[in-house]
Amino acid sequence: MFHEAPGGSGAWWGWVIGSLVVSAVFLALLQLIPQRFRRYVILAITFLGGLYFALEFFLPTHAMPTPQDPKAEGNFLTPYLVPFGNVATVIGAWTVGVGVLNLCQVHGRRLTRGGSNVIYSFAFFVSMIAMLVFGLLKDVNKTFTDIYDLLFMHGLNTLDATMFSIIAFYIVSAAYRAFRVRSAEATLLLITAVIVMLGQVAVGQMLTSAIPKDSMLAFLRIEGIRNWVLTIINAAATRAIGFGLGIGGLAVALRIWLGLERGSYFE
Amino acid sequence: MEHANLMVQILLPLFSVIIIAAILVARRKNLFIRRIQGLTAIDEAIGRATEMGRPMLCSIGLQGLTVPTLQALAITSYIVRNSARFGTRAIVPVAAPEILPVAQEAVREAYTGEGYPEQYNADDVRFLSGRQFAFAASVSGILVRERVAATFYFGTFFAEALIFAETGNQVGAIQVAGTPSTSQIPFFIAACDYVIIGDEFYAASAYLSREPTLLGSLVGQDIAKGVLIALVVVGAALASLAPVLGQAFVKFFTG
Amino acid sequence: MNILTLLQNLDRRWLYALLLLTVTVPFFLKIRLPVTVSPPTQKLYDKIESMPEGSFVLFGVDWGPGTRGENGAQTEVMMRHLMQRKIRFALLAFAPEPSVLCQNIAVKLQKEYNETHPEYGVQEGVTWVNWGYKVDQVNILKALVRDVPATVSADVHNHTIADLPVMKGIHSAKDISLILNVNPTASYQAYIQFVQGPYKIPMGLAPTAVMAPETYTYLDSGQLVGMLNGLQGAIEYEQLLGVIGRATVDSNSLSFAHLLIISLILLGNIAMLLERSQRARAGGAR
Repeated sequence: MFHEAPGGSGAWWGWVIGSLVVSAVFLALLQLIPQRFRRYVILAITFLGGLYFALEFFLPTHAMPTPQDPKAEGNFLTPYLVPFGNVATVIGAWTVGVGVLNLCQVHGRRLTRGGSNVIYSFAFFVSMIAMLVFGLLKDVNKTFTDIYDLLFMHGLNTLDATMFSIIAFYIVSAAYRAFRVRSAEATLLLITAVIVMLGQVAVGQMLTSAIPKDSMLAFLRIEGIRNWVLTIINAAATRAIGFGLGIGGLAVALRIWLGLERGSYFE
Repeated sequence: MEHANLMVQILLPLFSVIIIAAILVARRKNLFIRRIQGLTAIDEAIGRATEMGRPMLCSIGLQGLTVPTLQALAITSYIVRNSARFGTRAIVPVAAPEILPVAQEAVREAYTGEGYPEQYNADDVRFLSGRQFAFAASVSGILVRERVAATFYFGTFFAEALIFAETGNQVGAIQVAGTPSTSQIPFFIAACDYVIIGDEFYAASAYLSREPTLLGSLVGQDIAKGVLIALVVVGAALASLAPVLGQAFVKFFTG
Repeated sequence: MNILTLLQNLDRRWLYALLLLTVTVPFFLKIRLPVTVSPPTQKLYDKIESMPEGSFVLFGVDWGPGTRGENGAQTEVMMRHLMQRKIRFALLAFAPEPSVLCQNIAVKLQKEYNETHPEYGVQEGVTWVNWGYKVDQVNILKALVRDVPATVSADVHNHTIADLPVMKGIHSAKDISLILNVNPTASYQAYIQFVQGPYKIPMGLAPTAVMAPETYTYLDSGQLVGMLNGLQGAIEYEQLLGVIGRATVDSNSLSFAHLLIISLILLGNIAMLLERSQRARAGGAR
């Protein structure tokens, strides 16, 4: 059922146009469903989609060797796993336009209404159009390639790095404000944080570097204490939180899959 | 793993049965849930924004249609419903385009459900950017320009969490956060007023709505965690006895 | 406002100015402080050191310009080690930027080694390849483990993968000796779930320092053979390799910035405790 057609060939175009037509017909049919039945259609599609992946995961596997992977295993649903996964990717790709459309609507309204923040909406349109134009034309000639590099590599990427760098400043002010000895737990947190931070860097490690690594007191070396905190205490706590999050995620996924979820969006 | 091994084939259906059974029991009995301070503070934060006459910001995280995002949307719906009757404006920035129509629908339904459909403003539920730091810069800009009085960060966050949490602190907003992203919890604790940790995030919808199905699911989760704890204790004992029992016995459980 | 209250409530602009100085001035200091190599870094180094020449490494790079300070240094130092050991590697990215950024790093190292150590024989297409940017991490990894040439049909220069000498004998996950992933987010878990776990391929991880604490569980369980903990991990790795790279140059700034944060925290707490005792004495005196 799923096989590749050579790109640009007649069969390929046939598949693309056929898929578009079928999708349009399917969407039109979905629109015709009366409002009161739409929830049941959504529940049915959600259930069937989840059922496929659950069955593929749980059903017993047997040897399904390929020339490239003689020891491959799977069940009768496994060959369809990647194509069905691609369906989700393609549907997700359609939504990229939704985001851009929404941005244009919001900022377009701001431009027409005016106001104090209109300059930001103007900047949005200028930068979006510039990236779009030079992104599409970047391979036309060297000038366009250079402008594209200037905008992407030296503009956008540098701004990304700048925003990440702000975190360093913010962590200084947040740590200075938050790490106060107000209770026993806060004191313990502060001491642990200081030990881990000192054990992390060369200057901190120098504080206990006089203790020989093979002596009886080597456990007092600050990097050793730091490793112990990270691998024993931190790992245990992270694992415990991970268990809780895993079970919680399973519960929410189960509720959504079986249509048991409640809340204003799900009713 | 690509397919379930024996332990997963036993444990996952077992936990699922426990959760579903608890849901069925909860529909007939009242179940207790302990106080979670971070979630109780949501109403306090809404009240503060209403008193100050300034808007709130509800961020649902960076990911698209995933379980944490849908959970964050459920919490956001609760916040919007509660703020609707006071006329407090809620701004909901979105980072993933596929979640935008879902978020718009959820917020519109929340206002309509409370009888205030006219309060829904399409411009307040908007896509900002799919790029992590562009989104952070946008949210920070909104916090400063709109002089937000209360912020709610529920969902999956990464490094950008501290950027808008600290900006919110600088504008004097009361901040409530909850995320399954373990690495960001310390930053939220440093910058926010209330933080819910770990699986309290998944308990939030049950806690806020007190819906029997959700409460039952929460009790089921706790029973499943009890089973896991028992397995950890048994596993630790078996691993300690491995020299006596033999490695094959331990390997049966570790796969 | 007395001095103790002032010390507890320093204007954040002073804090930012201090941080700016603390980070920039050490760049001009020529001192190199030795660091103790942590066990996760040592394990990763030992693993790569023990691999035979000609082994193949899947080098996942998922970082962007925002985390270039940490992840760029980690990528560079691990690439150095692979090139020195004559181990083949393929770069794989699930975002557009890392593909370009890591290509630049690899080309720079190739040029450097061809001038200083031609015996390493570093050459794109022969000892390393850039598979480029792929969309949808989960589906690509699931397909990749079964059939590499079909999933990654061409490299970033549109050369057919199957024709490249570097890809000789690489058909599926069974032919991959090691996975390395440089990642500032939690998407490394997809590598563990779909590649490392099912096929029991050793995996090394280089997360940012923020993400590192939650990865210790994977180290403990043996799913990761080693890890570079942020920029400090890269510094330790450079020390093991005996090179002075970008991480070592940044190490002074890292050290002094940590000291600044600790000093400010202690300053605020000492001022708070002194003020409390002052108030207690004043209250007792009345």
